[in-house]
Amino acid sequence: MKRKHIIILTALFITAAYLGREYRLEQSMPRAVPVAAPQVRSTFAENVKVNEEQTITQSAEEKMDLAISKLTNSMPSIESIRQLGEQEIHHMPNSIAELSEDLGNIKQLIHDYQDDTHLIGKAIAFYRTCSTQTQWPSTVRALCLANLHEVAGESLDSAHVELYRLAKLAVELPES
Amino acid sequence: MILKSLISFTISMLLMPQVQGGDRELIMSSKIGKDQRKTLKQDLKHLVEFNFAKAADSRTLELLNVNDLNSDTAYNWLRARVSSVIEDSDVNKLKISAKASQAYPNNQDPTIETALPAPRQGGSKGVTVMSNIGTALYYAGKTNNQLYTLKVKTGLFSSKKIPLTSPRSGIIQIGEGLFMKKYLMNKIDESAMANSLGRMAVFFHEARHSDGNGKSLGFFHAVCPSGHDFQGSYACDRNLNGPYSIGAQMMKEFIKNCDECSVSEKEQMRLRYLDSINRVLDKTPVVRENVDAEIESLKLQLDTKKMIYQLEVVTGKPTLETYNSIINLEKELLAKANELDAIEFIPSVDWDANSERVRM
Repeated sequence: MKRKHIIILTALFITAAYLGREYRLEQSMPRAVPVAAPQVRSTFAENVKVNEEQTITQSAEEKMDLAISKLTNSMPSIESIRQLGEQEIHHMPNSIAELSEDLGNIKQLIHDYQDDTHLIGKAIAFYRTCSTQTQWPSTVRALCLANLHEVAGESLDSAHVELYRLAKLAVELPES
Repeated sequence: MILKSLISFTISMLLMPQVQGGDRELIMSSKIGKDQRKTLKQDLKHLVEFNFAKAADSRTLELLNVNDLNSDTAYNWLRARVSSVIEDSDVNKLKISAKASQAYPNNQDPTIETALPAPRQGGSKGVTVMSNIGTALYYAGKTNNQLYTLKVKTGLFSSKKIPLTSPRSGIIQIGEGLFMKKYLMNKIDESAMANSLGRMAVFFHEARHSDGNGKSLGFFHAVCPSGHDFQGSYACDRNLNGPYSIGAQMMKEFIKNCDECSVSEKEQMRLRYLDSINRVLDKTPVVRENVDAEIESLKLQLDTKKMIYQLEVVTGKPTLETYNSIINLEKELLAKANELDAIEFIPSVDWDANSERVRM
């Protein structure tokens, strides 16, 4: 075999081995592994941080206070949303999506601690304040109003017509 | 012999991305990040395996034009409108070829409203979540009597040519916004079903843009009215069966049927449902002509201000002062017309969702 052939053969073998390894890696990827967002590295770094934070035991009340505080201090105003570019508002703006987790946390706590009247009282107080914040996005206010109705039994009737329509749609959703 | 087998193995490995290109032949550009591709494939898998156990809303069946909602009908609806998913890039960076064509249907122009965007004060351009670029390219071709063909890279040495003969050619662009951590409903378990369903609802929204003909072509978004959270932007629908209705309705079905979604996730899904449904304009107020002198005067002032603002936009210096005076005049006009019972509310209707195509 000529030297030239050996070189070609070696190069081909290395390429094939490399591609084969990549392919096997792809195939062996377990499906349940958390799928990374585009910013892969920072995402996984953040994941570790989140898990570490969770090991610090937080009481239900502390969790509730934290969620309420985040929502109250960080909710974007309608004016700031109107400053966003077309691309950012084509779907739910990220600034709202990010805070929706805290709205979810409040609902989860109400669900998990149904007998804790103090905790539920805090949630109701927040929902009442939230539903009247005219500078907050109307969808957030409507969701708060819907919760006020569901948790505290308050009527939707006194709300502004548009807010009433949205809150009613939220209440009518199955499983809510 | 060894050389021959190694060569054939190498060639087959190089071509592998094309074979692995997608689920049920959905083409995915190899220029999309590996992680994003994997996430999207998993989302589609979640949809295919999703158990729509509870009876679907009759409106959902009507909107999707299906007799039954199950994972097959949902996925097939999506696939009929989406053929390929490509990376987020500027149109001028896409590989598009063109040839003259007179075969476009001779029908009405699509409904595209004129926006009056608020002057942005250094706001960011924003990130792309997802957009249906196929319909935009089809419409651009129709306008210029040119048939465009998009070349999508599917592997190291492989690509796929997609002729844009219909809005149903279905080219969807995905951006990092779709995968950003802050957009996730479950930030701890990124592979959670709720995260997939959130992205799939966006997918269904975009797929609707592949429908329509003539006036309804592309189901282009309407300008949100004054007072709306997104006033002045193309972020609403002036019909009852457009992308926002589809997105909302699918989210409703996902909430109903997701057994593994937590209370927290379902609450977030509820907010997304409201975000979509809030953009469906069920009626449009129209002030009647020649009812009152004051109303006519307000209309004239409004038209003048709009003209001034458009000039400001053209010269690149739109002012908040002019913009606000337009908003205030609109409010004043509607209030006065309301007082005189001079408003007519035009109810929104379903648009024709049948798609058009080039005559072959």
